Amino acid sequence: MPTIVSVDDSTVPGEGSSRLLLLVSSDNKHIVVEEDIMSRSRFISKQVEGFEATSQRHAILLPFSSFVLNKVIEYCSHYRGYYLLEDDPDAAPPGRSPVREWDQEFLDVDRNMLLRIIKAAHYLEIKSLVGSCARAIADMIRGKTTEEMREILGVENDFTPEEEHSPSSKCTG
Amino acid sequence: MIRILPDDVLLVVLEHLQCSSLLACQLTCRKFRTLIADSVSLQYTIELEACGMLDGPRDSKNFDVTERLKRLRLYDAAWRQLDWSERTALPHLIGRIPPLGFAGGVLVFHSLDVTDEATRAIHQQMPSKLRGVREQHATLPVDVGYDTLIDPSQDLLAFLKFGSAGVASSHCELLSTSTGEPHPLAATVAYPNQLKSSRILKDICNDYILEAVLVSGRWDLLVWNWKTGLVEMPPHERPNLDSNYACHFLDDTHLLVVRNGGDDTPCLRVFAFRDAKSRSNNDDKVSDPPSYYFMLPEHMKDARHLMSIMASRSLCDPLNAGFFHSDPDDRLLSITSSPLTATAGILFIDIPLRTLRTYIAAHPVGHDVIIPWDGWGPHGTRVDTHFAGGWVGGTFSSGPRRITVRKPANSDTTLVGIYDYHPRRVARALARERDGHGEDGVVVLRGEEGLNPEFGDPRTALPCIHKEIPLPEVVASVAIMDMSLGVCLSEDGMLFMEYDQAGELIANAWAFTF
Repeated sequence: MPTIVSVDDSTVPGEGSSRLLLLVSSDNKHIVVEEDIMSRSRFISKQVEGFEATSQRHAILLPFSSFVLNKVIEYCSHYRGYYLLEDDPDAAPPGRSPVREWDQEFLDVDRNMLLRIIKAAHYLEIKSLVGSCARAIADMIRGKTTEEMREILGVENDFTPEEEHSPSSKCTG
Repeated sequence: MIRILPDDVLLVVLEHLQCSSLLACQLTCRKFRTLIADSVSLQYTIELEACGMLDGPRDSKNFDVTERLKRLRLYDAAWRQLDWSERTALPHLIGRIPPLGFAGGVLVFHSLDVTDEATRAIHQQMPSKLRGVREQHATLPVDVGYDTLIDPSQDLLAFLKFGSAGVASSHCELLSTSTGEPHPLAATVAYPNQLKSSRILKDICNDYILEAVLVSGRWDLLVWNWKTGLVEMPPHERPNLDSNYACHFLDDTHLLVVRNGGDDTPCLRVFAFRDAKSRSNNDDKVSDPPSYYFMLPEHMKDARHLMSIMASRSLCDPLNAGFFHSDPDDRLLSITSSPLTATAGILFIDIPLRTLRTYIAAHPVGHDVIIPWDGWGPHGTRVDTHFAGGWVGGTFSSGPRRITVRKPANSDTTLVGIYDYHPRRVARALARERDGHGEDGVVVLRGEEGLNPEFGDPRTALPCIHKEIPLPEVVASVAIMDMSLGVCLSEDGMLFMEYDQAGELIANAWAFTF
């Protein structure tokens, strides 16, 4: 467990620029990042609001590795200052995420990494990144057979023979 | 592995999938089955596609997904039981001949009034209580020719206008259906208008219009882009095509022609017309587009017979369009035939476009490729081969998912059969029925297996509906001499047009809608 480190306001480099945050990953790496970059994360924003209420700033512990965290920071840095509809807490959520070319390249990673990124994005409450990852995962299984999907998703067929052949329960709305 | 993700994240993933993938996914394991079954939004996605419908705009605050799903189910149940909720009189249609064209619940009529010098078009939107669509109609102050194409999704009404020099200088007009003004996306100069030849509009698919043109004394096919005005497939001599053929767009790349082969063997011929354009640009000369012949087997005599009747239909026959329909989205080609011979029947042929594309990719362009039935036909095909006297007439709903078939039951009544042939539901051969006047037959090729039997979802494996209803009293006198006329089907209901004793003008017009 990393110790809680207090970040002194004097570390702010200058007037007008963003304050710094100290993020600590599960592998105990300390990463300093501008608050501004991470404002896309609802989780971080809420933490920052907490700092302001108590006038105490401390490191934010995150339950995922620095490798994943750096990836998320890369994403947030790319979209720094951009408005993305999905991240607007006041806007009605769109049903499906739009296709963003940069995201597609950014998420051209192996399946494990993709799952880790989406999990981290969910934890950090970055809806646009969750959506883009979800789209990428959906692309992997789209048009595949049930058996191929099990392989890709890493799930086992846990139906009893009767269940497997019974029609699926119908949603009553 | 995917189990490391919480349910709400999994749902975001599933939201990106379409019906068939969702159905496959719900069979992977209990977790996904429960997730999909419990999500109203995912169920809506599945049922919308199983019904062959598209979602409307999501901005309306009155209709959330739960309400949409509820209405969709009511609508579908109403169709299945033919339980219409409304009967609307359409008096403004009295005196009109049956529609020039209809698609997507929009019908266009032509005025028959000979005392009125200016002919007009009437644009009719069929109402639907369940879908919340109101009845609307408008008169377009335009002189509409007999060749009409409509595409409601693009608000397009295309028709040929005959010039003062007669048929030799027909001009294609492209109007906005809602305003009657020139369509804002239409090209100002259209290549085929410069041909100065007789033309017939055949079909529209997205940006492309298919027409038949008379070049050097013979009819040939032409594909052009109505937004750019440029030709995609120019007309030219094709020595192995006779002048009579039924044709349609298969999708916005492929053209399908039903024809008789050299030895009178009926077959489906597919052109990749967009390839033709790029090749003619490169070579600076016009050459035949690559074509693929899909052959029927020897033993399917009835299917072959129906197809040869279709192939021998005159290209100039304006009625044949209604009896020949391909459905690009659902990869279903369905064909009906209603010849005025002792033989009558409906023919459905399902060619999955994926299969077709595999063949097209595997064979070099520029050659004629003959694909035997073994290559594309399904195994275990069931063909109903009962055809006898009498006739069937029919119209396709614009969905297209249903077809009406009218036939005389006895001297007093006419029966209307509704065949629900939505491809996701084509699970078995359509029923056939007997009555005192012989037997009408239906042939379904590939019908037995349905699209995806492994999904195990009853909503995709419903048998086709075949229900016969006596026509309501008010329309019992519908002229049965007209085959395609008298009953029109749209997504939202049926339009009945009643003829008076003279069989000329319509005495009443009613819409029975859901």
